[in-house]
Amino acid sequence: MTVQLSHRGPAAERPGTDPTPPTPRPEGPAMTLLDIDHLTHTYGTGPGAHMALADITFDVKQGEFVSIVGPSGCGKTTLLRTMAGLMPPTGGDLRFLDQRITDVPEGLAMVFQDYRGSLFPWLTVESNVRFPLQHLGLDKAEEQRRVSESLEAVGLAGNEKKYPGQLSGGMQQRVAIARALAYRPKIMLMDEPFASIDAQTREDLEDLVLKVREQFDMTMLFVTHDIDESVYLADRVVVLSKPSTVVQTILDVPLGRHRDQITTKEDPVFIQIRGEVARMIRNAPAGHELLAERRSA
Amino acid sequence: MSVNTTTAPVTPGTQPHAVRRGLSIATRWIVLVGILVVWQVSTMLMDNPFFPTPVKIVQKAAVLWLPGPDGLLTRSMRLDVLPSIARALTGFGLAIVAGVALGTAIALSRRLEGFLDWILQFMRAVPPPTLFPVFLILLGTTDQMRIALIAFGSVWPILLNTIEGVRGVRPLTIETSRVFRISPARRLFEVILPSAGPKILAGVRTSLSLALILMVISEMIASSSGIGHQLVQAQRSFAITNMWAGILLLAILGYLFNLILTLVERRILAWQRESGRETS
Repeated sequence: MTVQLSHRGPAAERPGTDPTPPTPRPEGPAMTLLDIDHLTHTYGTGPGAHMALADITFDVKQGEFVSIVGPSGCGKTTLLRTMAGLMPPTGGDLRFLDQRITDVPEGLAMVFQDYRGSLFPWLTVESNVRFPLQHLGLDKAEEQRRVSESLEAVGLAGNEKKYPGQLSGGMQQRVAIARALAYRPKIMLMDEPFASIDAQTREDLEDLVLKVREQFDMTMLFVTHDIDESVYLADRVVVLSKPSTVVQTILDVPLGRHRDQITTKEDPVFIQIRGEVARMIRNAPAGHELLAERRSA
Repeated sequence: MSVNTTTAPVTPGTQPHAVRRGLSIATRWIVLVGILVVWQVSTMLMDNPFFPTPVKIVQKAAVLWLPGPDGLLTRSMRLDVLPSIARALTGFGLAIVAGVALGTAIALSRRLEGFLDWILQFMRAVPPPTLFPVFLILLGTTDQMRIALIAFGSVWPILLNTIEGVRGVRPLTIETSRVFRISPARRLFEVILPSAGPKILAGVRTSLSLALILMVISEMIASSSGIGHQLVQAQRSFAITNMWAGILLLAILGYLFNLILTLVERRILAWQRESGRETS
């Protein structure tokens, strides 16, 4: 990994992608974890082919929280599945730690929207969290430490022996987050994790995500269709177009690390960005129109 | 049942439920005793040699199969009951192993499934006892023949349920194990099979009764041992009470096997019962 690190010095940084001054981190400028370059995805071939993703370009740097928001049906899930290596892209370049993604890469964890299908109902909460650790070659003590620490972090200490089916939806999603945390990924992908959770629990879980991000210094890529959520959580928001999907714009969210459900959402900066994203999504053009426009410009 | 009693706290609200429960258990026993009394009395009144009294049947069964005062197994226990149980369990065990292995392979390979689906449905429709002559010709009057018949006849519910169960594993469940880079072996044994577990076990339960039926049938013809053989011998020698005792023994065996299977199933599927009960 250190070898790969040296590939990307500050000089290799593409100009214009990161206008904000780097946050003061001991390692110097943040390295790019995930690099998506002109990614396309087409379902099927021939005349019946459907181009879901037309041109997706953005990157995620170490320690960053990036959210992806877009109109419904814009291929958010296709994009995330491709980035997780579950589905090969049909075009463009997709790199994780400077390695081209062909299969699910090491160092990546995912939290899915459907916790019911994603947790294993026959395993206890604790065993669910432990399950992915068992091939990492950790010693038993370290394994146990990670399990306890993650469950503690998501506020589920004391529920180790319960089965997922005994927990509410919000608590089950906490188990899924704990499982991802215990795995210690370099990046955590979240696919609309709170879409099927009631509003109040959802706010708690959003704050939980911010908390564990801080605690574990986690890099997050968060897909959502909820505009408030995308702005509230993220350092940068990637706004998608309608299909065939392209990136409309990437907005910085200069709200600092500390966020609060009430005060942050009253902040004029939040309101302004939120409005901007909302307008872009309501008036979202189809990607191919946008591409044609850009080409003619 | 023992699980429920340990977890249900006695509160005033649950009292009527407990009373109702006790009543229903009492009713069950009263009905059972009533049936036995009617049976005993009517057979005594009839005094027909073809219908011995239940007391006589039980006495005969005790003589035939309970260890004598010397503590040794009786002849019929050694020559009929134990070989029968051994055949049934061996055949049933083979059916489980073959059914789960083949079913998983078929369900995981879309191509195999397309080829085999209708063939399996067709083969399953053949009543297993009709294959007895075939097996007899192929394997002779051996234990292997009987075990093969039991296995072949009882494999279908396990096989078809395994196919359905494995096919029914949610794509997201598989995807989750892919994201966490779970090895194919762990994916199979620790994700796919447990996920299909409830379906597979339902098939196993159906297969058990088939295995017992086929055990008896396979021993009725061209056999010199087994409960089926004992039954036919008793009938041929007009030892009517022995015949009834054999039927009673089969009922008890069937009940016991089913009970054991239920207990195993409860252990394996404990999570389902727990999940049905929302705490908090």
